[in-house]
Amino acid sequence: MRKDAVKFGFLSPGLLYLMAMAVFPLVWSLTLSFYRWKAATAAPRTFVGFGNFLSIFFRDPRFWNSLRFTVLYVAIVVSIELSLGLLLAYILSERIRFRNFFRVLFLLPMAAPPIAVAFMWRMLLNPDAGIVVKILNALGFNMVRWLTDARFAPFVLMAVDIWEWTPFMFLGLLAAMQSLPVALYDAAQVDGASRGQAFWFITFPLLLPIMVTLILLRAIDAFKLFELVFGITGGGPGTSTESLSYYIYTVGFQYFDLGYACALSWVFLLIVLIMANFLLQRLRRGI
Amino acid sequence: MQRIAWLWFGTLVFLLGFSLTCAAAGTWESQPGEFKGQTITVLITDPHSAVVESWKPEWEALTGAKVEMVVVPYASLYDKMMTDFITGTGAYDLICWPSTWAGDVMGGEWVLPLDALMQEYGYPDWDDVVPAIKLIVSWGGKVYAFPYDGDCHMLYYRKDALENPEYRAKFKEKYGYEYNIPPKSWEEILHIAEFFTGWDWDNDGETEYGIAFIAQRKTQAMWSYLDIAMQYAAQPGVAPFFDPDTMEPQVNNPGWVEAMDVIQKLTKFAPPGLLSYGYSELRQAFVSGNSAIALDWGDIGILEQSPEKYGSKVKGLLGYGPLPGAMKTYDFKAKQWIEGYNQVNFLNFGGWVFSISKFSKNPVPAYKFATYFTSPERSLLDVCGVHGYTGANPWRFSHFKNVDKWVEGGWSKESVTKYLETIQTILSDPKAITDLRIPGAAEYYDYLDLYLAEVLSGTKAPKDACDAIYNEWVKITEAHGKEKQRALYRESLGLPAE
Amino acid sequence: MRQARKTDPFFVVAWVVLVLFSVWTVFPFFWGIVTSFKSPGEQYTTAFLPFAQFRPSTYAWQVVLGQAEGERTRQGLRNSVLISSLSSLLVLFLGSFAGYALTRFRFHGWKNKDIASWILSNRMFPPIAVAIPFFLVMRTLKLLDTLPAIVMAHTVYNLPLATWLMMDFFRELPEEVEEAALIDGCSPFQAFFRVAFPLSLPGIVAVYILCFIFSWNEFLFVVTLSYRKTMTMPVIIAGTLTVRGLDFWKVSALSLLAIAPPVVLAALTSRFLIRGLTLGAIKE
Repeated sequence: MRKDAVKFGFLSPGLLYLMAMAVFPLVWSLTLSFYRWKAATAAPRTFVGFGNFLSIFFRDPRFWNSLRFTVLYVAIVVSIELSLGLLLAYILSERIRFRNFFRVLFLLPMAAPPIAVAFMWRMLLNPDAGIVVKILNALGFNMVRWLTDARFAPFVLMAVDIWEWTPFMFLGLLAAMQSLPVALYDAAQVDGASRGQAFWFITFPLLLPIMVTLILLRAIDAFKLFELVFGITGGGPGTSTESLSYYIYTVGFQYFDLGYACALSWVFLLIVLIMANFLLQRLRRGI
Repeated sequence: MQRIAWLWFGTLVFLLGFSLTCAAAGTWESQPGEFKGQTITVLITDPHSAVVESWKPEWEALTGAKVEMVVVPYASLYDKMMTDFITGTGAYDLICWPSTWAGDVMGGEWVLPLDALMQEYGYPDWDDVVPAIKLIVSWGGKVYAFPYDGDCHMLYYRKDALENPEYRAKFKEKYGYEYNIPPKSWEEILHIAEFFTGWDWDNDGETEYGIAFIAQRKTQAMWSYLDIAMQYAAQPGVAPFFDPDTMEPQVNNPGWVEAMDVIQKLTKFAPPGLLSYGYSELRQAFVSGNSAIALDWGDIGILEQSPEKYGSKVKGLLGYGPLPGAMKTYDFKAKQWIEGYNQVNFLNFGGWVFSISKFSKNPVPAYKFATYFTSPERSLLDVCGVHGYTGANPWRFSHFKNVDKWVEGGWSKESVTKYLETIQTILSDPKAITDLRIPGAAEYYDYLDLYLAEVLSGTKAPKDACDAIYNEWVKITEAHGKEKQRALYRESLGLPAE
Repeated sequence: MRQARKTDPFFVVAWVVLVLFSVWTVFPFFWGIVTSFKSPGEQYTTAFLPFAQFRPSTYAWQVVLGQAEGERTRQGLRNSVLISSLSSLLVLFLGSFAGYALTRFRFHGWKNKDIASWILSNRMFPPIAVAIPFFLVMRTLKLLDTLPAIVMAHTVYNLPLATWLMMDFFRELPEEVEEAALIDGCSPFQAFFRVAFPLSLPGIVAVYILCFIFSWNEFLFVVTLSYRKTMTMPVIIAGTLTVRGLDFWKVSALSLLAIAPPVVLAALTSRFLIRGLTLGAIKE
């Protein structure tokens, strides 16, 4: 009895706060998702049942396009960031000169506001005056093509994401490597294991669970990709860089088609939940 | 006797004072101390905030009121404003917004009709306002906004390129005719742009190109396209967006498709970075001298004048002209091409305006503040460059007459005369076509913009893109209610309701 | 001993990687600094050596910090600092409690895992969809354009992540220590505050810094819930993209101002970040 009071005493402040703040928005948006409500023109809302959801799945190529882009984006950036982060963390957990300097340096990009990052890169990548474009042009790459071609523009956006968020993976993995038991390595060295073997057979398996957590956290955030699109490409050329989040923003805050935007948001939530569940259940169990 | 005389005198003084007070209350001119202790809040974006910023101290000192400014990024202006409207919050009294949203803002009746206030307090010289701008601030016969900015696209060209006799001779040799200055038609522009692409015609050691325009997604590249589409799909005074009788979108008729084809061809004669040109990139690229022709609002003209602030390398080198026309146009009623020269002026974007929110608790101070800085003499300072770059372009007849003030703002007399003449011609054309002014305009335009982007990047053929836009427009019209949209479209064109 | 093997190819590769990655990381910052010291007329040039190639100008800084916009910038910085530190503090408080409850006690009906997943799912909803209902809530509470509104919103935004990270710290902490404290007559809350909390301090500091950074950088809630008094740096930066375009010099100066505080904070506390965020991965 007392124990119950204690445990709820610990849990309830946070949980109640979240519920209080989250319940109204969730109920509001779920209700609206069954209505057609073009709010900008002061038109009344009309009940359409599952109409919005049917439109999303069967008559909205833009939704599918943005979903495809977002999934591709998340898959690519998360895996590159993970590999780069792992490489850097591994190097910097060895005894190497200026280790602490590099450790600090490589953390910095993730601390910068994404909107500032987006504008800085927009400057660097400006087709006429951007320094990166000028340098790469001088080196013989046709950089302008990369920015204005629908097939390549997504990769430019991904590069910026990788710049900003590799530090997150690096941080998580470095922290984890710090706490690896030294005894195991000494034993491995005695057995004559090479550096590569030690990494693959000791470090990597031990790091797997944390990688899943990192992937999960990073994937959730990457899925919500908004600021970079907002600040750099505006979703173009064409719709080649329109993320799901940005599409919802367009429908909700440009068309003020609030019913449809809410329905899209719920579909978005379901997709992320499925993705998270897959990561948590399958991957964690597989380990 | 004396007492009676005093009484009479007193009454007279009282009456005089009273009538004076009444007269004071009935004027748009702000009176000293009349709004003591009141606060009005203005929702605005940069650079228009510069205008309010310059008049605020003066007006505050005069009336005793306080002006609070909420400066938001342009990209979030619409949602800030709409969120306030649909939730009925009423945080803003005065809102500065682009009239291209008229269908939503005026059509949704979110802002106060000004007629009653204008009746009561008067308006500083309404007849001085250019007719096109009067049209833009009205909806269904009522005035909903204060004019503040005269916006229309115009043609900019490099005089050192197009007027060079040697180049003209070479051009004639290659194409067999002499082009007009300023160029008169898109057919001509295609050749000129091709001719001036890929070589260093101003001898600065860099390669130059033919034409530049806004082409980036979500930066309203559709205005560049509409500049062309108007010439091929409309006649003066006949808006080409829908058939007003059936509300059938016209966007995939041969005229619009032809224009799509022209703009796709133009991308070949443009600087390599064209597809990432938003307003900023275009203006900066053009004033730094990388192309021969550009389409823009009055803004390039202002930026041209200040090398130190905006890096302009073309001061005094720019010529100005109206939009080019076309050698044929499609008549959607008769469903056939009309051969022969056609030129249509188009008021794209329509200019920024100020409105009083329906939920405002202080409409009178808001009215008087807006009339204060949009009065003829004061607004002149905002448009001519004396107050720096404000984003406002001339919109009163008197703005066009006062050339001296413009010279004070950094212009050369010759340039500004030509510049003003061009804008005035466009704005005073009674048959100029206005923007699409029905609810959902933002949505219609966004789909136009979307498929235009695919044409510009070469991933979609012009006809396919136009068909795709057509399908979206039909969907949007249905979602808003076809009959309702038709009635509003007719109303926006000034056609009878049947 | 390892240091002795100077010719180890691993170190050669390692150094190449480190140098390349340093250039990649530093270059945007470097270019921002250079651009912020250029006069507007020179903002688009490739010159990068001050004095040798261009004459450094403090024009951008004068605009951003001086008479014209200084007031707004300083207010933005002040708001950013206040909002980030307060909301992270609140997050820390609520998050460590919830995280502790979910690791030390067993809940029935709704199992621990369900509660934890539900908490995390709050971070998955797109902020755009929550923005308008939040606006309505804050309007009802008469909190629009006040610090509490944004602090509350950022707390919702960061609490799920914090709770998850906290769960991992407490899971790593051997329960025996607290049990000993309980036997000594401490109440469970005393045990938490005197034993568990101090022992997981490095982790808690790390969480605080992460939340601070996330809150500092958040954009959409601030844009929706603030008018004037509570603008934070990201919103002010977004305002530089006007119809006139992006003024490189101004964006650079403002961005540097917005980037500096969290970056310096991260640099100063990187030790805690690295030691603290073990995420409970490796047990024993």
